[in-house]
Amino acid sequence: MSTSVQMSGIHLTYPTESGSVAVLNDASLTVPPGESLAITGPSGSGKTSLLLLLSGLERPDQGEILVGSQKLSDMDSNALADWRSAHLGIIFQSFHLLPGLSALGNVSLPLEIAGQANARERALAMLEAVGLSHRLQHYPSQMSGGEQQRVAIARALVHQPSLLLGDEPTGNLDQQTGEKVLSLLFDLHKQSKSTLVLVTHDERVAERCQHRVRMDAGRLHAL
Amino acid sequence: MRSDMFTRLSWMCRFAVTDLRSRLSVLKVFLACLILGVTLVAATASLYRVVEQSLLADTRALLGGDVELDASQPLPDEVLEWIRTTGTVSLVRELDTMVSDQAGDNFLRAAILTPDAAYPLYGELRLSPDQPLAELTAQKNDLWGAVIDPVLAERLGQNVGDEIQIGAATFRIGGLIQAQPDRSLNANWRGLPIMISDEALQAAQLIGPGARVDYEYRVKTDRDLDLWLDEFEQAFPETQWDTTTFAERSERLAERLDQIATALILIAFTTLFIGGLGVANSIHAYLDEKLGTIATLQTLGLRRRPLVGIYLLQIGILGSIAGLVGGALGVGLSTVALSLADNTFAATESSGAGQWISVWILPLLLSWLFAVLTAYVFALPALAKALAASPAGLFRGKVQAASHEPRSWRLASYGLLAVYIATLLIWLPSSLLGFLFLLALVVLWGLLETLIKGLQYSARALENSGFADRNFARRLALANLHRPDSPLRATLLSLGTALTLVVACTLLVSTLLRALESTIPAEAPALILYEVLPDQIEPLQTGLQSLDPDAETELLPLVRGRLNAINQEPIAEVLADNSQARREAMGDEYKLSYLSGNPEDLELIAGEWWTAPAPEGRPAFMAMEDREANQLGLTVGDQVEFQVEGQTVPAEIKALYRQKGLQTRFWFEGVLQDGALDELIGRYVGVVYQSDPGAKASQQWLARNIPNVITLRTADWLETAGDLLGKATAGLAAVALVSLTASLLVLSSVVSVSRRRQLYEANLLHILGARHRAIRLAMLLETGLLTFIATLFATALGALIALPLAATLLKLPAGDLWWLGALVAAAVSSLAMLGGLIPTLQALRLNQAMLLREG
Repeated sequence: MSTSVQMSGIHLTYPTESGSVAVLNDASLTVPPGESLAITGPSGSGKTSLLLLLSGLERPDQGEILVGSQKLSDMDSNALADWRSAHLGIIFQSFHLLPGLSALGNVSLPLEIAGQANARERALAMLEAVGLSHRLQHYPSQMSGGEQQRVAIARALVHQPSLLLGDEPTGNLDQQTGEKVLSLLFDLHKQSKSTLVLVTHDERVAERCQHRVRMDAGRLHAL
Repeated sequence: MRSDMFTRLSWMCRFAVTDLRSRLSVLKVFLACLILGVTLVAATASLYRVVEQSLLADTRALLGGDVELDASQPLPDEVLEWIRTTGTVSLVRELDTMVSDQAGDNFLRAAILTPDAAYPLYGELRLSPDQPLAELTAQKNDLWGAVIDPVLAERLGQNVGDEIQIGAATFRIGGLIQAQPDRSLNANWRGLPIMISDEALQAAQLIGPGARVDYEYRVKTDRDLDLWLDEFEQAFPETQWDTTTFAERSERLAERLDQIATALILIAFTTLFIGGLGVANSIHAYLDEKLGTIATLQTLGLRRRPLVGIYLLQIGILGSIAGLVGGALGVGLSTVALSLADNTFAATESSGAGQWISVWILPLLLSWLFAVLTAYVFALPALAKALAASPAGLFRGKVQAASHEPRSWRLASYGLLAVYIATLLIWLPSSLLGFLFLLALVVLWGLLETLIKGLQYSARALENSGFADRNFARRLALANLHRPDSPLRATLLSLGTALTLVVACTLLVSTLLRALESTIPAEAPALILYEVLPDQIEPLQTGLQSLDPDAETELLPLVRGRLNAINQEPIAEVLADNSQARREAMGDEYKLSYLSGNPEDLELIAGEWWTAPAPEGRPAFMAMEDREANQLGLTVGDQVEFQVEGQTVPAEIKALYRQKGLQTRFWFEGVLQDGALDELIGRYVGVVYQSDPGAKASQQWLARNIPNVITLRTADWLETAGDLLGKATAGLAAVALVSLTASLLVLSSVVSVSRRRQLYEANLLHILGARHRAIRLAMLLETGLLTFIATLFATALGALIALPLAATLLKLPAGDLWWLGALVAAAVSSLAMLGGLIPTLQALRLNQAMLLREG
């Protein structure tokens, strides 16, 4: 299942003590369904803000975001929550697994939030797919960084989202582990046919994506 | 070299203080928890010292002599002569009677004392005005003087110079008793003292035929007391006087006092232990913030020893502050408690330097010691992990504490714990009770760990069974119970332990209150009568009937007898090997009565009540009170023989019964088949069923017309009991409140750690698509589950402690009140847990962007 992503004329400012700061300035982009896009750029260029907008966790001051046929600005907080639950998967740089839940519990969480049946079975299958069937009952604190990120990927994909967002998914991993995790991510992305948007500093990660844009001072430049 | 060391030490101290001051706010819970626990320890220790010094400093004075002989008749001349060859003797005659104000409105039970000139043999009788007793009790203007207890004067509404009525005579209050060395601790219950002269006693016409007078002979001797007793027993083998030495009294008193003090101190230590959990949590949070500092100091070249020294010093400083503040507060509290106790413990007034140190300075020093020890015992594990953190973390972005403390630290922790336990056991008044407490603590700890493991296993099994499928709120609540670092253990240990204390206190107090209330109903007698002589029965019944035609009077014989033989063997032979038990058994008088018409609710516990009298020529059937029977090892089927007024009364034990504690009025040690005592009845006791105003009128009539009859209005008794119970309840409530406050502080530190986690999880869940309402529900469910478990735990454990105590000490059933304990536990735990949750819900700003921003 895949979806297109369209952002057009996005402006975003953050209020600060010394006045408002423009984070995004007339930013626009399009990602065709099922394809992948890498967003690169220096720190503070607005990459993470872009992800926040795409996940509906931030609202733009101006401009429109369309994910498939869904216009995010038309949705209220509950509708956005339901939309994320059904269509969105996010992978964080610091994994952000719930420390109180086992690997299985973490992966089945999106399905349970959505009230779907067979959550455990599907999570089990997903963990097998990421090669962690032997770590089902382990807590995050009992796993390595690479394993935690594989659980995070499984959690992001278990409910077959149409849009997958990644924020420096290999940023906290060593090179070798990062490579493995990345291969896994792209393999699963291909299998699931979801649309993938990655924010990264790493050129090698960006090179794996079909499309690349660079952010600089709140503007997007196609590469 | 020495100057180098001094410079280094001085730097260490300065750094420790500066570093501590920078984050002292994080340690508020540390200080508060320790202070609360130590306050209770100091208060109970200081109270114990005061009471101990007051009661045990001079038990000779408390007993009135080296030896006391209690008799119901004057000692024969030859006995007195023998005693005089061994030392000095003093006699105080004592009898119970009624005293009223001049108007005859208020009647109170009082103990009339007529001491001889030699009284007191020990201690000092202090009177106000400060004049000799003989002068204050002398006859002036046709009125005899009476020196009375100040509380009695207050209850009667009379002052020095006012008149009171005792028996047939009117007395002038000549003075007040400010301090009586041998004042009985039971005086508040049995009757407050009035001292009058021998002649005045005759004038009051209280000593008639059948009147019960206690002759208390006190002996002052230089001889060895055991030897004195042996010689006395040899000289008068048929002795039937209750003889006690001050050493025996002192031993008994000290034993009981030590037990009570140990129980109280252990409750205080339980609070300190709960506070220790707060110390552990708080120091953990503090050291987490100091990990960077610790790592930086290491990278700057600070050696391990000074580094360890700095943080040990900080803990020592905090422990000392808490110990001294808590100690001072506790000693202050005990002073307030003593001033509220109406100067019962007057001995404290005579203060010497040694006493001052023992009562005030010693508890303060011990509080400091235990505060510092508690701080180290609970802080060492966290400190060990923090100090084991690798400074390499500085280069990787975050320094993390080690997951386990090094072995040497663990050994040091165990060593310190052993020192702590040893100090506690040595210091506790009753080491045996202390040891049992520690044993119980270990067993309870084991049970608690088993319970926690069981709960976690069940939670995991329930979570995996499908119960939490499609319901992430349930999954989170269950996972919260079994995840690593689950707050379950900390919650049960802190809130659960304090709630246990609250539940136990609730059950005990409510049981007592109910017992008092159930004494009030219309079926309960409004007036209790003692010392009714056989020829007074008819006028008494007629008089009361004419005053109140609805009044119903029931009289029962009361015969006092001494146990002579058990299964045909003389008691002196049965107890030949135990001189104290023998003297007690031979000196004790048993109160005997009949089973028929007995108003006491006697509970049969062994054998059976007889339906027909014993066959002619066989010993009469009797039932014996369980405590007496147990002391003598008697059981159903045994035969006993009583000596009453020179006659022998044989009886066969057919049943054992238990009396109902507070609701028991006469406390009979034995009841016999009807008719068995007929020829020996010298006096009766009785109850009158009527309204309280009617009882008051009856009391006045009896005091005027049959003055030797002692009357006790149930309403008066209830008032006194209620007053004492009120004080006891306030004391218990205060202790429970301090304990609960300590536990809430601990809980607040647990909740604050949970809060960070909950907020983080809430944000993450919202990012994953959970609605706000669902997240709040999940939090409520998680909190509710913990509250429920804490309530269940406290109710079960509290009942387990309180029910046997109520059954054995108060002789009252409390099992049916479990729901009240549960209700209180549920209310308190809900308030505590929800109180912790509400700020979390308020702080739930759901700033999900934070996660992406933080990576």
